Amino acid sequence: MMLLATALQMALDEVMLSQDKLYVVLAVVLIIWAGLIKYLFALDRKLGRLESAMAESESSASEQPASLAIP
Amino acid sequence: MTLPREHPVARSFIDTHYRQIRLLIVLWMTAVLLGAFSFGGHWLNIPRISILEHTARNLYFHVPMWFTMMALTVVSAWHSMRCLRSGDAVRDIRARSAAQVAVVFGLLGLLTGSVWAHYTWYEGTSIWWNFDPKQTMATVQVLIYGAYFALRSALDDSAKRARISAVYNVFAFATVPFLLYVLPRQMESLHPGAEGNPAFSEITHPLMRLVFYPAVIGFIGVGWLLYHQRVRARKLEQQLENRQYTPL
Repeated sequence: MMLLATALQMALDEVMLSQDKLYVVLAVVLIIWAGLIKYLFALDRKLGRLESAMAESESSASEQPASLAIP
Repeated sequence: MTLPREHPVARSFIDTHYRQIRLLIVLWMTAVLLGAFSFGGHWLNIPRISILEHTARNLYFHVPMWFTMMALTVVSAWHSMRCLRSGDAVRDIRARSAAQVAVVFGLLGLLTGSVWAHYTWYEGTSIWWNFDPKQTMATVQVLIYGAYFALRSALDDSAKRARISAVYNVFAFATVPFLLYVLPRQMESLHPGAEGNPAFSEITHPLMRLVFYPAVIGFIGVGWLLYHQRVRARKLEQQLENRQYTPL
């Protein structure tokens, strides 16, 4: 297990240190990209959920109250 | 405490031009990325320094994370102060949203810094984190803002929550210049500008400013976009809560 971790680390280092460490910059850019995209998607999901809840509350307001609805 | 009004009619310039502003920021950031990866005979090709090599380009990405975080903490503290003065619930929403996005940028700054350090300062070792004063202080800073959200979630009454967390937030902001600037510069650190280390202006090639400053502006723009949408989502959420609790 330890050997595998070391081997992985060495392989990663080999890639990252090649091309005058350009891949380090790529890694940094990808971290930021992934982080911002993840945040944006979470926000969009939240907005979508709120929009549908809003539409629901608008449509239920025009109908009869929920407490009187037949189950 | 006044509740946020439902005002679909009164929309500000920013609300009506959101898409244009977003497009501008996206195009701006695209230009920054192109500038950041200029090679060969290109006029933006930057000089190479040993150990740093191409990672010098991380200046365009890692450092703006902190600038954006600081800009958002300014926004957050400003709205907290306005909230204390007026008791307007919208100010509380703005303060909270700005702090949230600030933490996202702070975490990205920590992560990118750790990767950068591993392949430069700690090259040849398996170290990713070595408690460099600036790293430590930045972590403390992010945790201080984390505590802001812990405090918020502990308070149920919205008026009380807005007031108490606004007071905390103003104090949290007061620590920003010390934790991110003053203290790390006093201690032995590998970061530029620390004791004995040359500061940004002395070691950075003038050419890099041509990409660095636009990158800072661009990332602050991206932070603003996320903040703006966060505020919209939270306002909508509160409108919905008000509807559910008031008889229609």
